[in-house]
Amino acid sequence: MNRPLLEITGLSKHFGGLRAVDGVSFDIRRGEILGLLGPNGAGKTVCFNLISGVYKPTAGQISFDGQRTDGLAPHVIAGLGIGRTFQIVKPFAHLTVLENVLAARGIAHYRHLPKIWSSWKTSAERREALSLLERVGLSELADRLAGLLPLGNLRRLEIARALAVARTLLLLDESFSGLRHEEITQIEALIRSIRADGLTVLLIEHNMRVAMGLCDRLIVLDHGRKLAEGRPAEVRASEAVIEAYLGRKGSAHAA
Amino acid sequence: MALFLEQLLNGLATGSIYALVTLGLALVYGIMRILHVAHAAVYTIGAYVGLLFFNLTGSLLLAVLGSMAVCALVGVAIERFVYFPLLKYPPFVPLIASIAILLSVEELCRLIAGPQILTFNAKLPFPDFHLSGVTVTSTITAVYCITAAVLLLLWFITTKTELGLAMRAASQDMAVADAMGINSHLIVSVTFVIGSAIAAVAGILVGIYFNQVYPTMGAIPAYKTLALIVVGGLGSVPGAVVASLLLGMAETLLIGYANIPLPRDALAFIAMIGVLMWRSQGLLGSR
Repeated sequence: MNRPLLEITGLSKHFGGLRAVDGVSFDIRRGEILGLLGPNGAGKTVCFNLISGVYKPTAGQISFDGQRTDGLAPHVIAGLGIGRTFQIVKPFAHLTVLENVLAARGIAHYRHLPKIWSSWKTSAERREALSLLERVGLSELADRLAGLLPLGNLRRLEIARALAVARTLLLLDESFSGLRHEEITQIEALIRSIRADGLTVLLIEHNMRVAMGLCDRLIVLDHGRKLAEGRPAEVRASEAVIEAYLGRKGSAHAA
Repeated sequence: MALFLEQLLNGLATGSIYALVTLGLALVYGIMRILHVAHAAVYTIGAYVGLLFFNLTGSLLLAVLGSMAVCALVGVAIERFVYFPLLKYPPFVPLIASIAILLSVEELCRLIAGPQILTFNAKLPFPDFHLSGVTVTSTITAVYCITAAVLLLLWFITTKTELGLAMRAASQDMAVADAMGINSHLIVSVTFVIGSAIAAVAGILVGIYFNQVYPTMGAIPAYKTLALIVVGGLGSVPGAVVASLLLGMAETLLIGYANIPLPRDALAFIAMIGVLMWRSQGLLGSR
């Protein structure tokens, strides 16, 4: 089982003349926390959308566990066990917190014709959804309308919802942005525990310090191309990264 | 007093029928944000196909089931072949297409079945009621029972089942629902199946209630249901039902009591204008 979980080869996505992602290749190894870094507009979220099937690549391949997934519909990719969050939180605002997770937990059934008469309130499904909420620390708020939660709780809800889908790979799009320091620490611990359970995590992160501390490896993108790849220490030392992303050498140490 | 009560009960029956037709429109708007004017065409087809099957088989049950099946197919065809390809354009584009479908279906019915009014002589298997001078005919009893059953079933599906949860999730954000493994497009089709099957029932009920089936029977419902989903709150199914019931009763009482030279069909639009001015999100809509 040494084959990488996700293999990305020569991936490109062009919007008209804009090369949002341009010939990027990298692997995600099983059980690692891989960080995707880069300045605004570097193509990180486009990469996510390509992996989760929102966009079809202009060129290149994505293989998940040996199976080509580029060109598959988003719900099919989710069905393979790839769960994701969104940079701008997108809860189902008119559903309760629990229903948000249950909607994602229905994954096993949605692939077939919907089981009209199976009640989603049945105990097993509900228990699993509640345990996910407990894990992210939202079980007390299970019956609240999701739209009424503050940002920090919404980020947790998105992680719970993505976990309901993610049997193997969890994609986190800036799960720390807009959060307070304590909240960041809690979510860092949560992500580590998720990895400890055997999941693989790919995360987009803006906050260098968080990314360096949390990730096993980092990929740095700039203008749609891969600028650097390696362990946090290697990336931090890379001249190209320092220039493109961190500014000049002096400020790199400050960050 | 008896007369007033009878008027009220008639009005409630009219409102129930409005509710049955408006449901499909509210469901479709809720999930696709399209004003599905062609829903009235589905309703017309429902009445014609129901009448055809009834005349062929003599069984009202077969007529209803057959008509529901045909309308479900028509509804899904409209969604797959007309609305879905047009979703990338501004909302007025699918709206124009929808109006075109309504007009085409009217003309098709005229060509196939003729312009004359056909009669729908079926006896609904429901009892008459006589209570202290008030008569509730079997047709009205049928309208009540069927509407109640449809609403109950719809409530059960949307709040108690996995399908309903997927429908509610997809109606809030299809892209996110997709990322959660919900096949949103399938859910949209299922919504059209449900709405269109209910429209078939409504078409047959109206055909029997007024003993009339004719090509342009969908014209007035087409715009009246539009007004009703605005009054109820765009996308709100309970709002659409409440607005329909209120309008049915208001129209009937207005004709029965007020001697206003106002065509009854104008009332829906006066209500719509009022709601837009005073409570633009509609009776039960959210902002």
